[in-house]
Amino acid sequence: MEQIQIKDLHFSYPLGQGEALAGVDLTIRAGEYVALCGESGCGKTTLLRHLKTALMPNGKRGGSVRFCGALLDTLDARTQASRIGFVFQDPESAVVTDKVYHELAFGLESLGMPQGEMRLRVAEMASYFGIEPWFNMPTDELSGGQLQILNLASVMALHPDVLLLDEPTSQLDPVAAADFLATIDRIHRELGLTIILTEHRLEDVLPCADRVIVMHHGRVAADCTPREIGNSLTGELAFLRDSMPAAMRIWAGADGKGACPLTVCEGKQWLTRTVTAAEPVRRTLASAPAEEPAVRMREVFFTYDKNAPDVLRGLSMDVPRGAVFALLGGNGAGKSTAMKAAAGLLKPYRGRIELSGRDVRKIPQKELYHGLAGVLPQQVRALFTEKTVRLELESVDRGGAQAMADRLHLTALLDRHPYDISGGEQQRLALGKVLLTHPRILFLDEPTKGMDSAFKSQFGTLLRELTTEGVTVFMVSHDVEFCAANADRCAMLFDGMLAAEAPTVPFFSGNTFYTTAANRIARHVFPDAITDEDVIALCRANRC
Amino acid sequence: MRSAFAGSHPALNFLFFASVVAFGMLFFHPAMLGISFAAALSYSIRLRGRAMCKTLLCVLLPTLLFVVFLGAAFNHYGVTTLFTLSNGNRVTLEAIVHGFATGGMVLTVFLWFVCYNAVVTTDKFLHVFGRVFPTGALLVSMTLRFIPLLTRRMRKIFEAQRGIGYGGGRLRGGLHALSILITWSLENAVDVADSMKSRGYGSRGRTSYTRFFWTRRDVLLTLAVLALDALVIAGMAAGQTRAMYNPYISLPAMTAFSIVLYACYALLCFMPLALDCTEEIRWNRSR
Repeated sequence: MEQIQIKDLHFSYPLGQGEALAGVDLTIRAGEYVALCGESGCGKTTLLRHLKTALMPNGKRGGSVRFCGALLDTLDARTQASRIGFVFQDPESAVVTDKVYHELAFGLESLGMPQGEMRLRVAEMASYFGIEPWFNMPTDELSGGQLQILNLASVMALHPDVLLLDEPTSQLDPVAAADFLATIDRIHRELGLTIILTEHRLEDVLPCADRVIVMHHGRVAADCTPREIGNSLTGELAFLRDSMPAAMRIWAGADGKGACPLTVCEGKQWLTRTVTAAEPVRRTLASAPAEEPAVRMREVFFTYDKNAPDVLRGLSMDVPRGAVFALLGGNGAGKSTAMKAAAGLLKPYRGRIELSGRDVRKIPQKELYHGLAGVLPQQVRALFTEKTVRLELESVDRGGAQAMADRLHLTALLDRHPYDISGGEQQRLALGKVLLTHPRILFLDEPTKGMDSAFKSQFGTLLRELTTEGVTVFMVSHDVEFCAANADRCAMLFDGMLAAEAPTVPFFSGNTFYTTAANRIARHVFPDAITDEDVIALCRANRC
Repeated sequence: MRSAFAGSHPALNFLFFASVVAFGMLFFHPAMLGISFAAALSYSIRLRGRAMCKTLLCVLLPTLLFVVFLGAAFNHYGVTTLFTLSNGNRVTLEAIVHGFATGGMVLTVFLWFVCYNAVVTTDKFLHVFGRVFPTGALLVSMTLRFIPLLTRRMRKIFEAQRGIGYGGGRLRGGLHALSILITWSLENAVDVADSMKSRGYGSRGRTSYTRFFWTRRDVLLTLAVLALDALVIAGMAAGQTRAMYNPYISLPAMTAFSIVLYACYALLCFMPLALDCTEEIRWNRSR
């Protein structure tokens, strides 16, 4: 049955250049799981918002959207609220009330549902989504992953027929993201809901989706099954390649034959069939520089509260000068804390931290954050103070603003308000602000969060450039793929201490679980291959 | 501490605290004061345990003694002179007793509020008001959500600004951070509004979800509290609770009615504790 019918939909934002949607025709049947993908600014969020009148953006519109045969605008607000559910990108700002159970009931209260029915629905949702253990908790104490599950459950309590999700996992760490997507898959399988989801990272989405719709410049560029997408990756959809699952990227990169693999498991099987067990080519390792490290931490202890357990328990590590150093680890391992302590933002109660050989406590603030260290926070909005991008850059360094804007591709955005540019652009602007203080050591807290894959590779190149200028990069990240491709050394923090520390290649090839998808696909034949490029190159060299 | 009274219906909790706090502020009669004080003290210790004992000994008792001292040192009315100070001022029994009565009253009301805070959580407060003003209740709930959120954000902003060299002075840095917080929160408000709209906020006839239900015991206890309230008020109307400390201590004569009144007042004030005790005994027996 055709549930959603979009006919020749055009849309342009009041101040935008060109059309955000330039004639979209789509039919979505009940019970389909649709992954909507494309680069930043391709119109996928705009399209998604057109499927829910309450969220429809203002602007010039043409064409029609029908829901179950009726024009969407003619449906009353109440029906829409319950039948079409929408889950937002930022879990924190979507939660409205102070208690978990109240949030679950929020939509039901709005629709004026009687007490008995509310009770039943809240109970059902709490048990279906496993919320019981934190049912009575304040929403403020939940993790990002829990908040997003709560948002989902609170929408599901209204019993929607269609679930729209706008990059629901972009703000979550990989484990929470995988959990969330597994829940979505379960809803789809068990309840037969129609699901339309936009996402940058499709690694965990594609294996579950029935259909992929690719948007490009406001148009539908492809509309097919996930496997068929693989065949176009070398052709007209090459721009999508970086956001596809590792198995597909490698398969496409190595000109694979047969059915395109979607998961690590399928990728592994395909590789076994394709490649002869050849002598693995080892990457030559750059020897670690012997000079004095840029950051030296010795037996650092830190806790946020006198009575709370220690977050850092005797952490010792060295960040070599001029290197890209990545600190990885699970949620709550203390990664950000370690970085903030190293940057002098937090004061450990024991231990010694040196930046370029000087005790961080003895460096005056003026010197420390003007030319020695610069910190890019996780939430970059905390940095923006001005009305335009230009003023934002000039507020730090008037002379260098223009050059920095050119370097970070911000020139076209100079007169926009910092809040009106996309997440990836905000990240670039924030980085520009930090770089204008000319730090010798750059501290980055989850820099790739919410970035699309196209910009990620540009960002990696930028970090490389900085290191050739002698800047040391200390980055805290969940993004295993990004670190494998761009870091010189990696370390894993666990339980307040380092669990492992090594140059990137041996670091990842030594791990079994905490490693890149490419390594997991290829480790049985090429143990040292950790990035797609490694695997693809080895594939081409050792094909049977 | 788990309390049977705290587990009963919020409306009963409210009614009880409204009664005891109002009576606590009205009655100056030593017997009434004593009853209420003893009940408030024992129940607050039951709810807060050792921490309460500590506050009591270190803060409340010294305050009480200080009030008595002030009363005795500066009030010189009364007919019973205990001794005369070197400057010729008399210290009287009436002034000391009056000091104890005033201090005791303040202390009692304070203790009842300690109990109130432990028993009436925000959930209960919202339940009682959510019935009458669903939108108001939502507003309170949203406020409670955003206070910790904004505090956390403020901390992040300070940290972020420091990390790029904008430590600044306290005041300038603070104003700077505040302006970022406001911009950020206004932007965020758009998301919050979207999230609310998409879940049907603004439709007519909003209801309020509740986790609390009336049990038979709650109903009976509420009726009992109302009946006791009525009796106490009757006693007050009959002048049985009047007390005078100036110039001499004068209390109404002890009659059968006044004894019934004291008993009723004691029943009312000790109700939560009695309820807790019976529940605890029952629980122990059921093991």
